[in-house]
Amino acid sequence: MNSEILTVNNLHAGYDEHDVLKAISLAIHERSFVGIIGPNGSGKSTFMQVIARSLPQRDGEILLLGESLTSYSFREFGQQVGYVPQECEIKFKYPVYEVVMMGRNPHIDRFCSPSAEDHEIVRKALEQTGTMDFADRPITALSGGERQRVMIARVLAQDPALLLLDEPFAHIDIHHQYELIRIIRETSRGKRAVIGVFHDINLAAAYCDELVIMSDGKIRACGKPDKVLTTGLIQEIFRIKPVIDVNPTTGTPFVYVEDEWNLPAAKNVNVHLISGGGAGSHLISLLVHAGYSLKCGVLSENDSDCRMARKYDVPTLIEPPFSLLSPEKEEKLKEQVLDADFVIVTAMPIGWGNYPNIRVLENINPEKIIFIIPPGEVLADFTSGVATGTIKRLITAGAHQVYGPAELLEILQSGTNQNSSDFIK
Amino acid sequence: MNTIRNSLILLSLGCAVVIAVLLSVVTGPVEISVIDIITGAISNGTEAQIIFDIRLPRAIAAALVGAGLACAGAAMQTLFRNDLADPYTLGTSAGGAVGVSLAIISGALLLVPFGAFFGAIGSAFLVYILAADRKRLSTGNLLLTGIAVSMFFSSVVSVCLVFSGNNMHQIMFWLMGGLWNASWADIPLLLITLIPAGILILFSRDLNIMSCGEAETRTLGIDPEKTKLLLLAVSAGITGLVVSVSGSIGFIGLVSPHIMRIITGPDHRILIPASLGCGAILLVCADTVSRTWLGDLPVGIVTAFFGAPFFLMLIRRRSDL
Repeated sequence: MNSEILTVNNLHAGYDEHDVLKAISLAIHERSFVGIIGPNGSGKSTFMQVIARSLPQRDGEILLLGESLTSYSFREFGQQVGYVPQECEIKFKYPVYEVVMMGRNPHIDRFCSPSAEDHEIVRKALEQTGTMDFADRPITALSGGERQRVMIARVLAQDPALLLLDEPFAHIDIHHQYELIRIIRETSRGKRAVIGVFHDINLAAAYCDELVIMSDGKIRACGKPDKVLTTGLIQEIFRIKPVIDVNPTTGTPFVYVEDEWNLPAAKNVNVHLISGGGAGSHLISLLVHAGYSLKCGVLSENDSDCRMARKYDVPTLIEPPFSLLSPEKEEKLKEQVLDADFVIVTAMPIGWGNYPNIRVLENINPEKIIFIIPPGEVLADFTSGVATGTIKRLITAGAHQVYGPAELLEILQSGTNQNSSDFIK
Repeated sequence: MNTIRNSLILLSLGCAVVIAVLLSVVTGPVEISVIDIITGAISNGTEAQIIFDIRLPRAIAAALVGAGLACAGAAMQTLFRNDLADPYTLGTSAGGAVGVSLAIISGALLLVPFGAFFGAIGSAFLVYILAADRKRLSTGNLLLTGIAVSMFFSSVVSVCLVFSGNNMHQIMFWLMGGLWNASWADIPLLLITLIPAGILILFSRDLNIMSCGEAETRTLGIDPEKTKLLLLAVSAGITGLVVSVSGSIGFIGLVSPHIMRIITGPDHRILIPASLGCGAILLVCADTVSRTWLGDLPVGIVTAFFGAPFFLMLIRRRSDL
């Protein structure tokens, strides 16, 4: 285990009478990049303020490199802890070079000027952050993204053991966000630790080694991003309906928020969805939320539709990856589609492997079938036209063909009414 | 920091101060030829007396007073994070006036410098404490507090005036601000102000960082509370010392840093020494003008005449008032 840079035990702090932070305990090790996430008012900025000594602690213990935070003189403190604010607030026309040189202040004696070494360190920081080109320009003449890069150059020149970032990307476009977070992650690889408060959960999950999730002044979870980002916790503290997926480019958790469809309640309508290749994922979410009793299949186990169905606990017929649809599964599917009030078929690629999914539809009333074929889309048919022939036959026989979810819901809704009137009869 | 450029700026300012003092010495109601001075033709007699006993100490005093007010103004503008701050607008000078008045009516004329010194420091902290809300000093809050404190102090001074009897003219002189009485005896006291001015220069890197935002001062190695209190005491101390000689003179402390910031930029390492020079030049010129052509009008009136419009201009440029 790497040595501890910051140790926080049972920390209480706050404004006025009430404590914003309640019994925070945390250990930050060197070579780690820790992201703090949590809703507004959860205490993450307060925590950063206490560590940056802008706000006094009320109770508990904060150890920086093994010694009490308050035992440091501000000069020693500045040699160990650097801080990047949300936004650079400098209103005076200091040249960028001088702003970065301010990072060296805790290292330079009051009676001395910056040494050759200080100048060398500043130049390196400027190069590392790509700010060398405007070293001589006044900081006030730069854009927000450029200014924030200068702030990061300054903290790199400061060379602290612990680097604090308080929502450093709040005002920065996505390009610069990623550029800067990569620079920051790189610096956390030395004998240093970085703590950052982030609003963007996915950015934090992709780049931080560990996440600390705060709400209501307490630490709710702490650990590797894929361990702490759970649907239940995210839903509870952020009050959203999260879906936690995997970021395909980084392999890290990726949280997105479900759309809240405003739909009339549908009761007792059985819908079977035949899809594949990810073509049906959004429909699974939509139909489940609309209250339809949904079943899926047959799907290949590694299909993203299959993963989606599992997320929502939708009963699904599943075959192992890359295998042909077995006669037993086809028989089960036949039972299910006969049983269903509607069968929805998405525009998926069809080959001999999943052709039975279509073939089985010839056994049921074609009016129950709804094909979703977006405008201008040609079915990817790998069965030499056999599947297309079947679909055309079904449509001629009365199967619905719609362009998208809106029309689909219309048909399902009207069907619901019919069914209920049938039921009354 | 562009060292060559900064050295040139300071060198030219230094020369300008010397030239201003020399011009001031040869200018006045009694015309004295420059050539006569250089050739030593007037080594004694009335003319020599005018030059060496009256005009020279007065010009040097004006230079030191102006320099002191200007560097105090430069520091206060940063400490209060407010470009309208200076010893006059913040009531520091008024506090000095109270101290002086009390010293005069109590008959302890020797205590006048101490009265000015402690009055100024007390008033600076009073305004700071009254105007400070949690995070930062808003311009409106600060100016209104400064005005309120000044008004309160001038009422105290008025009371002193009423009870001053024969000493009334001394207090009046002090209130208007002038250098009539400046003599060689005042110069050592004024030279002392160069020590606190040197402290301000030593803290110029801290001032730079403090001018860049509150949040990061601590992590950049500065204890903001302690530094603020120390530098505020230093600036108010400078103010107290100089006003004990000159009375309260406005706007030099406000205007000089602003003019210099245009030339030097915001870096206090150059801004404070440059402001010293600029304040010296401005006050020497203002005093010479008033002495020569305005019937020795109190120089505070001259600086206010030119400084007040400048102050208005600064206010109009701001939006957060």
